[in-house]
Amino acid sequence: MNKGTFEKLKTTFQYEIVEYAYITDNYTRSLYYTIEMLQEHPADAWLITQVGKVLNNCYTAQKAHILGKRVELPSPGFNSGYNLLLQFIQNLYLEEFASISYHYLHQYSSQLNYYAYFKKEYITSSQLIKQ
Amino acid sequence: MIKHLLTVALFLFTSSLYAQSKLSIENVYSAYLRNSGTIMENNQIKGYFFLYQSDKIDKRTNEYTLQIVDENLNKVKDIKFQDSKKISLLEAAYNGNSLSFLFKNEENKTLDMKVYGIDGKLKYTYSREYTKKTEDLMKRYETMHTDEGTNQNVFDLGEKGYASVLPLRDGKTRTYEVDYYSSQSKSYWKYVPTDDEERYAQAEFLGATDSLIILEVMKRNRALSGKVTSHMVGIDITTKKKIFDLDGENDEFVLVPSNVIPLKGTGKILVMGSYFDKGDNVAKDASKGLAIYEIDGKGNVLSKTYNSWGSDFAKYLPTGSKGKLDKVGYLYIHKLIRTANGKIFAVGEGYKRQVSAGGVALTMLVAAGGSYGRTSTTKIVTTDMVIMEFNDKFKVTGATIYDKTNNTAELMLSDFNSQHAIAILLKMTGGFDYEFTTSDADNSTFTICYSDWVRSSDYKGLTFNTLRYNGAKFTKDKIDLKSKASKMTVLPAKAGSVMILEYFKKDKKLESRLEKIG
Repeated sequence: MNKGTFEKLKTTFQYEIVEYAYITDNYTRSLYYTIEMLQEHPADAWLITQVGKVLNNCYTAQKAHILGKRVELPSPGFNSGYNLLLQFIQNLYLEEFASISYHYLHQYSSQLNYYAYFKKEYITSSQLIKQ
Repeated sequence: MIKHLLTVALFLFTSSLYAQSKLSIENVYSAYLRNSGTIMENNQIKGYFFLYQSDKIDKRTNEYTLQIVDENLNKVKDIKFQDSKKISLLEAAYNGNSLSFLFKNEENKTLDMKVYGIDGKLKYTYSREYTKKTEDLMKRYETMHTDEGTNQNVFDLGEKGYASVLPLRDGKTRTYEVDYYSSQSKSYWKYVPTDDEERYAQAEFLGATDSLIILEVMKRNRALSGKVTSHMVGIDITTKKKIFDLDGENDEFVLVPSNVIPLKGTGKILVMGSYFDKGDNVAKDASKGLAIYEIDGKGNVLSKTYNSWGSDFAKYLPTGSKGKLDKVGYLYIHKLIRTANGKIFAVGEGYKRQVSAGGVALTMLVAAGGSYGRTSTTKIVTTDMVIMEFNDKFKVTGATIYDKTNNTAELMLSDFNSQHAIAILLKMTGGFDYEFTTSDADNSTFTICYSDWVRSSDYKGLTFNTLRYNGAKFTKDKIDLKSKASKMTVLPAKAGSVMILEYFKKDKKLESRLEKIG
């Protein structure tokens, strides 16, 4: 494998990790990796959308009382940054998931209006905030 | 190469992604979910303990594990010990610095109280034989040894230790025994009342202060033609002496206490209970309302406030005659909560007698067959939850009924005549639907939890319900509890959450997770 392919795979794998965490019902891991990647790629539309998607789904899961199956709890085995995120999630009330998601996505609404994946999550968050 | 990389990456992330969202304990051969409980400090959840059979060593011996986890379900300590397969755990309690377990050992015919430190080390063992006198208690445990039962006889006394209140029977004499087990030093005492009139007495633990164990004692006074009288008894934890025995003989009304709250830093104790006209039979007659007394540590009554069903509660609740609330029935007070601003909330649950269609049909069948059976024609149902609010002068300022299904309580004695005795029986057998109340440190917000059996078009099964008070108003939430687990229970958790504990017998697996509410 040449260096170019290797670098390309490395980048792709990072997105795969975020998605894998999400589809295996580990919302907090997915959110943590997303935020970590956003620091390197702050304008990445997919990552921005993923933040909203995770928060929207936290709202839905808490409403169905299954959020406990989807998020991890703070543990001495985790690094401090991840524990901070986990504690933050623990402290949020139901309506705050929707509220944060909506206001976060709203600031990108004009520039990412072309992106269907973004539009879907943005509309969802605006509906959740009204519930 | 790519395949290899993918495999490594996948392995790394699947292992790191193995969620800590729930705790799963394998090799659980047998578990009663009531053998688990919460570890609390200053009224806040700090962790949990689970005790279960973890292995079978040989024909006579089992291995048991006591697992301690923190408030986020991270394992802190597991203590394994081997003991006879003929031991069974009857009760468990936590008091801030130790965990206590009351075991029944059928081989030695002993009741063994084992006190463990939070580090998992066995601190003290207190052993006493069980005899014919404690037969009633053993029978009670036999019927209770299911997940429906709740801890009834071992109570924490703060950092000092534990108390147990046991019924005793010797011939026609029925009395009680209070045992004190220290968790600070190897120290134990036993209190058995010696008064003549306590030849027929039944005691219930109401609560404790730093220095007192407070009991509600119902005595049958033979000198007064078998009339039942209600007493509030305070026993000194250090000296074992009876400090007071309040019977309200000189009061305008008679109080039957049901809840106490020690008022921290004041030396005062708040007592709530039903009150009756003087001369009423407190076991059978209807109460006039709810009273709140303030007493000091010597048993001196400092203030008395009465809230009658007929006038005070009638402003907020549909009260009928004879101490009954229309539709709700009689009210049992489960919990008193005093908030930081001096308000008091009382959590009540209704119960009433209903005609049992099955019982009537069976009685008719038995009668048609020419014999007279002892089939009950009535049944006891628990009804709605009632939350009452009192101001800092202890007068009622509001009350709300929260609808719940009329759930049938499995009581053998539903034709029993005393509303008070029925309430005690319901409490003893876990017949009420009220589960627990969690709050933050100063009670400025709290959550009242109760279960309910729902039969609607959308859902049929057990639900777990919460009433969350945010300092201004209550909001309701409901969790459907349908699960593939063999057994399931919900335990208190940190503010705003509950812990769901499930036992999967086939997989020998105990799973727990925190679920946010409200």
